[in-house]
Amino acid sequence: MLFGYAGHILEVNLSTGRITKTPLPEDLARDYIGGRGFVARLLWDRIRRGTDPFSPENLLIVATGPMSGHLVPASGKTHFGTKSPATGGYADSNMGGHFGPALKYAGYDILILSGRAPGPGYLFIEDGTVELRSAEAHWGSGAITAEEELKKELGDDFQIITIGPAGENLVRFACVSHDFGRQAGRTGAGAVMGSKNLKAVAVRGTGGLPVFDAEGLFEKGCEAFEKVKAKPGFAGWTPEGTAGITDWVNEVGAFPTRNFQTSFFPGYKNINGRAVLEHLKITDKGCFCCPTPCGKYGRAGTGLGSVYVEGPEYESIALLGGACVLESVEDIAYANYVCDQLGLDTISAGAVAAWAMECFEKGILTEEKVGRKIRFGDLEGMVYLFEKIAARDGIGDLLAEGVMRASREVGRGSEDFAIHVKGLEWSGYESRNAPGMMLAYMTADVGAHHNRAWALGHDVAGSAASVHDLISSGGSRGKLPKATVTGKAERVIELQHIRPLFDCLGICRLQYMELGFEAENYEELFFLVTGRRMSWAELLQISERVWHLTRAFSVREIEGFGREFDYPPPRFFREPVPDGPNEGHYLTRRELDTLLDEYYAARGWDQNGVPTEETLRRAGLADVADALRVEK
Amino acid sequence: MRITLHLSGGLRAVLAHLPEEMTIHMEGPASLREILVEAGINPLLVMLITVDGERREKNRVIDHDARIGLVGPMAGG
Repeated sequence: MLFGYAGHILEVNLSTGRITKTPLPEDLARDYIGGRGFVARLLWDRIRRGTDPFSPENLLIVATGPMSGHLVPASGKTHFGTKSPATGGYADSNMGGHFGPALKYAGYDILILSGRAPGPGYLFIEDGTVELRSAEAHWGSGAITAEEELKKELGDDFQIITIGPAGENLVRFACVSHDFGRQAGRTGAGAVMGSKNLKAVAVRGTGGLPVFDAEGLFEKGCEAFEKVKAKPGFAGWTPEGTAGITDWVNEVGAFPTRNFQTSFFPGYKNINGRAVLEHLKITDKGCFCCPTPCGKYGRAGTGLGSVYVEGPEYESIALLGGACVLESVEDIAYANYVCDQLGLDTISAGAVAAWAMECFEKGILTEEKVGRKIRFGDLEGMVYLFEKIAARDGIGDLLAEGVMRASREVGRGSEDFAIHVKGLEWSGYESRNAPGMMLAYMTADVGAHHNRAWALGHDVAGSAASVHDLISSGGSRGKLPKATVTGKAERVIELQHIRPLFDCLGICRLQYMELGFEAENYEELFFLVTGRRMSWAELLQISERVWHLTRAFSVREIEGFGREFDYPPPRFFREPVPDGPNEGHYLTRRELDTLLDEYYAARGWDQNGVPTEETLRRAGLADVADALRVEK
Repeated sequence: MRITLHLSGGLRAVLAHLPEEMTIHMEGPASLREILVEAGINPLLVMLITVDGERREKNRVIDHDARIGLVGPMAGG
């Protein structure tokens, strides 16, 4: 018996209506743990080379981990994987909430969706009952509205994922939405769901899960909650959630401002965590079994209307606020809500709007082309763009492609300030003086996303002037010295194994990464749930295997994939930061090559960034090595 | 003043040589920024500070024994 797991894979071919339930293979659980590991292996095995992301042959995989749904801190995570409409390569996205546990209680660790439904539909799962039902009545509804409607129809105890109009219309950065404000935001999973004519999946599970040592888990699980709550930082961090880092990111000059033209936002005190508390927040909102509820549910009133919204969390503040220069937290929250309803990833949507605004400022996009003026700081203009994008109407059809494709279409130098890597828009950390963070963005398997390795703190620790200098200069506002470029690879690689490991386990990383809930606790809880005694180092080896595999997937799927795909946009290696703590700093192209050279060598990849045969075999991926050799 | 500092996991991730809890003695009054320097902690690495459970700015002056919570840099969602 596989302890910890529900024990089955549910596969639904939406074209034929065929529904199959198969046992979860023991070797898959053993070698890939769960969640992100399952997604990576199944995408490699089951997607034919060259599959169009929007074709019925692409898969949308929803996977849980062995810890999902158990009495373990923050065990509500669910992982989504597909071939990316944004990059054409490997894609995954992680979501909080309650969906994963419900899927497991219904009896399934993994849901694999293939094909395309003949008309708008939603998948109904209630334990052993699985049906494709009509979603004609919900097609066109906002993602939040559709969830409300389905909850009314089915009952509050169903956990539901939905897409908004952006997903229906194949916007390449459409997200999957859940629990009125949680998303699998990045990489366009919502668009793939839309391409399958699937508006929603509703699940209710009433079963239990096999646990290796239920009594021990109850005792240690309860202890774990108390330990997390006793951690230094718990009381200080929880009230503001991730929005609480806004001040710090500005103080170290890493806040993406005005489409990443600069890295310091003078009005950041108006859009920080305290502003969320004072102007928006009604209550905290947490995910399944979470002792540290980081969600902030509140109400925002603006000139355009008043809305209830979860958030904004930090990334939305950075991209909708800083990058688009919205100066009030209410405006950011409103833009956040519009994105949530339309089913747009707030990070990519903010980056796309910021790019369009800069194009407008430079005369590259005109009022005639856009349909109205769009300027930095203009909430109404942003909402206009988001609605156009979600409908793929007019200028929205161009912007729905994301900044990489849109800038290639528009040209005139706009590629230089299209802020992305591999086709995925950059998240909330401007990195021209943060070489570790820059390397993390360059090498993240899904594109420019921070959650694979967040190295900014290490960059600051390594670069800051002496503490006495900081005191005499008033501390945080002084100009920072240029950071050291060499020696970043090992740390970034270490982080790239740690953070994604949590996506394999099916739990939130926050308690470990931010509060310091120790690794030995996870070893113990993993053992009590699964019966497998694995050290932290052994778990990280599996995470490393998955990392090589996702890189191999992109090598297989993207023509010519390699080093050229790892560079940031020219803005970051040609334009010095114009002001703020990092004024004058940037990384040269040669320095970027130094970062990549060291990284590839440490990874065991060749100079083009392709995993070597020896590395793949050493990682337990001999079949992948063989397949890549045949492809060559 | 007897100052007890509690370092978060995020802070210890970048200052691995420091313990989770440490106590220092200082002549008061002193700003939180000065206290951090005295403890060998770069103020720039501290994202958020609580004093006896209440959030405080780095320029806040402390003139009595205190328990200070230090939260290090962390990523968004």
